[in-house]
Amino acid sequence: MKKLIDLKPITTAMIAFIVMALLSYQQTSAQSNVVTVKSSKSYDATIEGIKKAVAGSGMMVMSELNQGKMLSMTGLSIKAESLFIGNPNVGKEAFADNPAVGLAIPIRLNVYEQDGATYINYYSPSANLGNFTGNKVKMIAQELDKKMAMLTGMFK
Amino acid sequence: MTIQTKKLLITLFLLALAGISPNLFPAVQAGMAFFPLLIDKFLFPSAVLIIVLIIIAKILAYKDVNRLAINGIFAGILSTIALEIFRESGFRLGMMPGDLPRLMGVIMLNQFASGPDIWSDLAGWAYHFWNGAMFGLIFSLLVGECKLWHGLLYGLLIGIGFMVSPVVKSLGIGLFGVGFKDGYQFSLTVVIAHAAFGLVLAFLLMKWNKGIPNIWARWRK
Repeated sequence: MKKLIDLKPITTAMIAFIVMALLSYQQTSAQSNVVTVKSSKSYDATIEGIKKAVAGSGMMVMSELNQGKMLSMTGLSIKAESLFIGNPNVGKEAFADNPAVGLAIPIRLNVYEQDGATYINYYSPSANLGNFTGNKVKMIAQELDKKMAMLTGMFK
Repeated sequence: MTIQTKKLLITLFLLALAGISPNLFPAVQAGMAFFPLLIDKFLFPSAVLIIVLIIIAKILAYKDVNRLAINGIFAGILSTIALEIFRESGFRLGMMPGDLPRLMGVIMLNQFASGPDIWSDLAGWAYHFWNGAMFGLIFSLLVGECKLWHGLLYGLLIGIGFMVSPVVKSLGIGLFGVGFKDGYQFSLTVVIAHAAFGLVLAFLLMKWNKGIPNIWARWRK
């Protein structure tokens, strides 16, 4: 019996679409390198908690950039703050190996509020530091990946 | 040295000192200096010297110079309130790209990263009002007993000067703020606010400076 509709082109198109979608998803993930964690705590409690947790994990907050407050001068009301986290001794080893790493460390941890929920995000240290040569740098990057995952995991 | 020459000298010193404060922020925004250093080296010393010169004029019984200076400073402060009514309203209506006194405060205290707080706001507002006082002092010394249109013209000149200054350039909105929104909101707010400043300044000094000759009258003598 002759089929009323030829399904072959439709099936081929659907497979092609799924393959393209998967490829595009992979590409996006590989390019962004952004790790985002939704915090179970409020915005203020998350900021406070991170500061304490950083101290407890052998690192320190080296600088704070309160973009929320900064932007209040333009009339925009948002909650967003970046914390620059690092350790001078680890920094010493990384900079001794490759002085160009200053672009990637200290690690920038961004806390923001969106639709009532608080999020923490950061660029994966191994992805960022992967742009720089040096065996020590690579080892430090892997260590930082673990530390950051542990640190932000406390707020899930 | 005659009394008139001495009065002229005090007036010229006062004018030079009054011109320092309003030029500090533009110099900082032009990348020429770091504001916290300018506060110690220029802003505070110029303010102290202005007060000293006013006291000297009082001691020497140069009543006209003394009155022109004090009247100018107080009229300038009150006129800044008029300016602020329009500037703040314009900002809240979205006609200004930012809150300038707050911006000045964080730059003065070098705390851009942590954003404004009560102290930076106080510093920024104090500086803004001091600039108003200095513009009032300059106007009073130069014009003395004035007419309303003198003040209007003076206010508009300050507004135009501001709109072509490095301050506006640093805001990234182009000269006269043509790059902000539809291109007219910023300049309209600035013109109205500075016109209000000039008109209130002239209105007050018309009465307060009645009968006091200005610097040009002394120059001729």
